[in-house]
Amino acid sequence: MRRGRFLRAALWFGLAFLYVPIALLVATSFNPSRLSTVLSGFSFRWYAALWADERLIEAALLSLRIAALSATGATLLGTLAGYALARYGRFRGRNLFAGLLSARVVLPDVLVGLSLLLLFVQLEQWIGWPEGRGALTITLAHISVALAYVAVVVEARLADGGTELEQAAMDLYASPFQAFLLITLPLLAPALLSGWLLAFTLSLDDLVVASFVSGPGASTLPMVVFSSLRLGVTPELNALATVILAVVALALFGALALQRQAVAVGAARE
Amino acid sequence: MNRLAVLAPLWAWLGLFVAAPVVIVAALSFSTSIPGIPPFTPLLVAPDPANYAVLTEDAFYLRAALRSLAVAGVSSAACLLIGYPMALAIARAPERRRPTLLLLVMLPFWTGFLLRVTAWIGLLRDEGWINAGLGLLGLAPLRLLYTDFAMYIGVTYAYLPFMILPLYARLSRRDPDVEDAAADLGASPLVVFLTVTLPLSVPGILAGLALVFIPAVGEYVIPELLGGPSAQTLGRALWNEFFANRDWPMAAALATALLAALAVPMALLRARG
Amino acid sequence: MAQLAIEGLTVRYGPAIALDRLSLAIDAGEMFVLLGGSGSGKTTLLRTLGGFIQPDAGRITLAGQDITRLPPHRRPVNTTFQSYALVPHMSVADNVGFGLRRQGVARAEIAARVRELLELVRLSDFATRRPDALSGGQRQRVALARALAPRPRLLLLDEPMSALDRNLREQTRHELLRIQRGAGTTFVLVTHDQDEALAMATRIGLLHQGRLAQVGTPAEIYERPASRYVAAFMGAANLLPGRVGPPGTVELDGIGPVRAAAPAPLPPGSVIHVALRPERLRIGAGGANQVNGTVAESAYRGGSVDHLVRLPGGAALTVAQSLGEGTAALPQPGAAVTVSWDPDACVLLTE
Repeated sequence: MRRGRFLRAALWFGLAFLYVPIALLVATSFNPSRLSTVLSGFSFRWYAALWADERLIEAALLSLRIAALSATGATLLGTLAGYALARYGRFRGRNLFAGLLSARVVLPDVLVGLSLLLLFVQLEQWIGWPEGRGALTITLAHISVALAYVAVVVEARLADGGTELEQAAMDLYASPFQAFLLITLPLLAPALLSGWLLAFTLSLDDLVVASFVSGPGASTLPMVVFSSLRLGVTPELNALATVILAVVALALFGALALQRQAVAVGAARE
Repeated sequence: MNRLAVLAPLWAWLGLFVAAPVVIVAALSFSTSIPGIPPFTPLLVAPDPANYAVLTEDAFYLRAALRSLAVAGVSSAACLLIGYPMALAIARAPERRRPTLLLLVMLPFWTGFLLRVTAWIGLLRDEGWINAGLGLLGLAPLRLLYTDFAMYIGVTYAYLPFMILPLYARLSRRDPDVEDAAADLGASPLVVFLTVTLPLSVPGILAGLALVFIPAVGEYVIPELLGGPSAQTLGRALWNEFFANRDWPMAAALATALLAALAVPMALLRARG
Repeated sequence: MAQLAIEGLTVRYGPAIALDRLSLAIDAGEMFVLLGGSGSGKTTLLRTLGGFIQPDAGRITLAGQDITRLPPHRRPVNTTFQSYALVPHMSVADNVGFGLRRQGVARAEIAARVRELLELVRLSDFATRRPDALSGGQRQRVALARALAPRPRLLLLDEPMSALDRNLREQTRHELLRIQRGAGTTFVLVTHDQDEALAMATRIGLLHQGRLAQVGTPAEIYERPASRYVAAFMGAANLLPGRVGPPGTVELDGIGPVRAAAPAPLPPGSVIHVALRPERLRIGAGGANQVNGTVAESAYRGGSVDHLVRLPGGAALTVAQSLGEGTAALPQPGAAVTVSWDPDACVLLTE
């Protein structure tokens, strides 16, 4: 079918557009020469340099810590928000609620970063907390942004169904809270996981907001990478990118394979 | 579950971390920059709209705004042109292939966008891959990095998944029988697309635009890394006011103006979405 | 003694009225069927009884207790849902015991009761299975067992058999009746299938536009419908307009005088409708009432044939000719026939 061919071609072109730069980057990371386009062999030299770069490693660890904390916080709050949006119907102020929630998702990072920094500065002036800026403020800022994404994922999953199960549970003498714990949460588990992962990635990836709300001594990985980048691409960064790509690809395809397996087992049992 | 117990902490958080900051930014825009900590006169003590005067009088900011709009506009259009066929192709693919395809689309996003910008720097710079390829073909090298072109490509590249996903979400919900019925009634594939598929996918397009255009207007990193030093966007201007000039009130004025300007498309997209 | 008393129940969705000052009394141990088309309000009524909808007006009393404002988890009423709503991540036994666990019943007692119920619904071997490993009919039985386990005073069933195929439905109907009699619980069942209602109910409540069109036993509703709507809803009916004639007769438009056994509820000369069930009409002469006509078309039904007979006055009668033993030859389309019936087949309807 003519339409089919055009669309498929478009799809492959798009995927090429997405992946060719990445493929070149991976190739360069194994190139021992500093001149990226002269392929003079295969070497792990830049990976070794990466491993030895303490500043980078420290920043990476900090970023991972912040990402894990903020993802968890965002998932907790985002689940409540998504639940409220999906199950509370037209509650008072719903539009404002949804609007405030989605504002973070849509606004440019610079606006988010500046406004949160000013908030922290003012708060410090008025009530003495947060003391100085650093990992804590970055974490709070990231929670504030990611919670909207989690809420969207949770709301979408809940809107898809499950009301009858919750009603059945209440019909059988479960209080609304018990119904949430015993029925809704287990059903939400996949959505919660993907929401957590999404929040984790957003946090790990964020440069602008972290730059605004961070303080001395708290340099996240993106911040370190960015300051390196401004001086020009070092081959180490190619190695870093490849490492991250490998880890993420493994994780995602692994998850997909696991899910496929679970579906196959379920189908075999029928 | 007690509604109050659920909604109260949420409202508190939203009020503190979303609403309050906006108010504070707006208030700060009326202060003046002074040396000290914090580097501005106390909020709302002696409000002075001088910063806004500078914004409107200095052509620099207008140029930056126009450039931001251009970047966001061109990139959104490019994302739409590239992303729509991709989303439609995935929506039409057999069920079992779709998770893999979506994964392939999302994988670059999950690897972090700074490092993907790195990839483009490698491609575009004077000794980069594209110029190496041109050299192999015996062509003269092109100035690609630190140009507007580089910005457009970079922003498109970074935001493409955000256009594809909402489009796919919308397209995958469509009823293929409607398209079949149109074809059955004599419509060619192109006509089916224009009269059935495209109109039904408009909410997806709007959602994609909301996730691409609006954040792209304030984009800082990509213009900074890929654009030339004279290619100032609102995002860069804001960053520079804050970090380079240490003029927080000015940055706040810029932010408030940007927010006000974006409020209109945001509200429009929310109403239609 | 009425176990469930519904008084003046009104439910509104914005400007639309789903239930209109509905009052009904249901006795203990009944298998009461709420019947109606879509939009009639039967599902709204069921959900209001279950506590999922708060009525705008009216009262619901169960065994003397006013339960109108009680939320679902505090009402001694249980529901089976059309989609069964079994908890997918719990086994059959855990599903059945769900309500008992919420009530804080002792573990040993829960296990015993679950066993008892699984035996009742004949699923004892399935205790450890998950819902996704069960067929539709089996899931329905689990849903039933789960709803019965906490010994509710009232069990509400929302279209329990709509998701089952035809053959399974008959079987399930017998099961349901057996289980209900065994448990002795009052059942209120919602369905749009009138055959099901007629076969199962102790009494039927036919709902139309949020009001009860008629409440009665299956026989009462079928043989003595209270209005044209009821007559037309319950099975096919020939509805013929006419006027009340001298005692014992009705002047039917286009047909002439017919003898009716039931006394006319209105004075002579008033407009009235007569309902005639197709199975009470015979092909061939010999009844107290008869008319001549032509067969327009015939529809074969397996156990019977439906003939559409056109009468000279323009009216048409549907006659169901049963294909038992000793039946006369089947008239073909176009044939001239005589249709006859007895006076007591005439049902007189004033609205």
